[in-house]
Amino acid sequence: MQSLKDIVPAAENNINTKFIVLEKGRIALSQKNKGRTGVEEQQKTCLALVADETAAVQFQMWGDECDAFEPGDIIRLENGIFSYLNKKHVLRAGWRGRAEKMGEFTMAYVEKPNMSELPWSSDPKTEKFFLPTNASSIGQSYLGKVLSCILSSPMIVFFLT
Amino acid sequence: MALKLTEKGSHEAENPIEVSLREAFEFLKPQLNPPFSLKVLKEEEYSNLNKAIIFGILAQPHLAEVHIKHLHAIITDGYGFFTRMLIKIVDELYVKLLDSVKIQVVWVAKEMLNVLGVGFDELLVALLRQTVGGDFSEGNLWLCLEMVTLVLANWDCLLEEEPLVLSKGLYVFLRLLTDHCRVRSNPMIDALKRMEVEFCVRLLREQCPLCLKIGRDIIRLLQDLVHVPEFKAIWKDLLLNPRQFGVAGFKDISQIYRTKTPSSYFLLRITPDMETKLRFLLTHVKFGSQKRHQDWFAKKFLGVPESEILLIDIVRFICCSVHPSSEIMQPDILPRWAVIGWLLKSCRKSYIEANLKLALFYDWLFFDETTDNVMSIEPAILLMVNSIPNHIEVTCTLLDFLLIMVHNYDIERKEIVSKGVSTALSALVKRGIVSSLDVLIRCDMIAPVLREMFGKLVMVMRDTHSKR
Repeated sequence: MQSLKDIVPAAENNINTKFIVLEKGRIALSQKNKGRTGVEEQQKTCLALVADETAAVQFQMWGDECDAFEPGDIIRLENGIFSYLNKKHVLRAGWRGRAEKMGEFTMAYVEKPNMSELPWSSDPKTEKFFLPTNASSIGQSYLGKVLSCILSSPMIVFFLT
Repeated sequence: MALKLTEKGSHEAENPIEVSLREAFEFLKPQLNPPFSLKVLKEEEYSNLNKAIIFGILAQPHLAEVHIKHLHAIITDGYGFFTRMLIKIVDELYVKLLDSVKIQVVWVAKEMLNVLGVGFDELLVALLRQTVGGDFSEGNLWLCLEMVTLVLANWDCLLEEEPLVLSKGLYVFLRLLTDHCRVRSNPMIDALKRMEVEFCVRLLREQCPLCLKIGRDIIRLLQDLVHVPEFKAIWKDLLLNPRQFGVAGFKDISQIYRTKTPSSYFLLRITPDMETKLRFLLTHVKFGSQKRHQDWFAKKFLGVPESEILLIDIVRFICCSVHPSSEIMQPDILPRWAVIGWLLKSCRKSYIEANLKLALFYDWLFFDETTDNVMSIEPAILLMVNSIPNHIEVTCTLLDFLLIMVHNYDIERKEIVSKGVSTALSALVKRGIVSSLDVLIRCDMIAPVLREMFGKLVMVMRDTHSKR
């Protein structure tokens, strides 16, 4: 089970975590997409702020998840994905993942850092992972950029492990 | 379709208790039909068969008689495991159980009472805890009716085997009656009310020593029912003719005042779910970041106006049953006084507000250092002191209420209450809960008349306690 502070954007369904829903946005209809069956369909979507003891993140609910989850619910996410969607980094179950309510209320949380608001950017070397940049690193060399990232962010854990 | 005990939402994880019961049932299914094997079972086999039978009884009402016969045939532990499992189901799953399963739970609880299964008393208390105050839904009224019928029908047996179930029943039904006597009559509530009154009055009249085990809170509960004729009569006898109750040595109501109510009684009006959430709030939520958790709690338990009555029981529970030992070690955790301040501000009806304040100060009125715990009176003083200056209206209304109680709670026994409150104040200072009471006496945001009256009380306190 991963802590939210340790999640990193990736084009993979590799996130297993647990969090509490803090707030739900308005339920809206998505753009037409080809669903699992290949037929074009519109689905309900709803953006929520969720958190655990280490960080917060925006969680994109999809379909009947939008009605099933309420603020205060504790959700277990299996094989979720944290990626760039509609100009934001959001966490979601995706097609391959699964989100389930496993309790309510009894979870402490923090609202900072918000992983969706970190200035993630791609690592030009591997093109696979994303690194958070900070304002001071703009204009620096690539090495300086990486160094400042290592020193300034939770990513240090990622590099060391 | 697979058999189930609970209604599960589309994105809800299965409950582990239900999963384990169902697994045992599916695994042992071939053995659950007669003729039953009577071979001696190993411990694990025994508990699995118990689980399978529980699942069968709850999920297959039409076969319940067969399953229970099977149970009686195999039992070797006095039903200890079986009732423990049922208590767990009631505590953790009751609200989510299908209606048909709830009916089975009550039915099997009666069976456990009939065979005097080990722990049947705790099972009945667990069910009593599931009757919710301020909830007039059909399901809740049904459970109230089932439970009051059960205790009345098994009066002699309970009296002989587990009389405390009757004391606890009294606490529960007195509290429920304040609800049921307040609403407009309808046939179901009227029938329920009649039985609840019958049970309470009979216990008070015939088994008074059992009722006195509740301690001083029984008076607080009876106060709310003084307008009901049967209880009016009891009040008359309590005040004027206490010998009527036939308890040796019981001469005056003040003897009840002096008995602290055991903390287990306060749990009776708080469901296990509420208890878990309140305890979490008071041990894990940071002071300053409590708003969301408070809102979620209110949405779940205090959503309808009738549920406001719960506030009183919650305050009593927080004061008397939640005594954090390492409060000083965790200065950033939401303190009890802050939660009570929030509950006080949630009151809409004035009689609820008055009762909440009484619940908050109740142990002050009769405080005795040798038997009472300073932690039960701590939230009220901290709420008063910490509300200066930003919530000064809270300080004023509480101080005002305390002074009114000193002078009017029991005019005949004013000196008892006055002594109780001054002992409470002295204990709070002595134990360092507050360094001094000057913060209240010298606060110019409090009306001079209140400060003066409070000052007098403090003088009495200093006089009596310095003489000692």
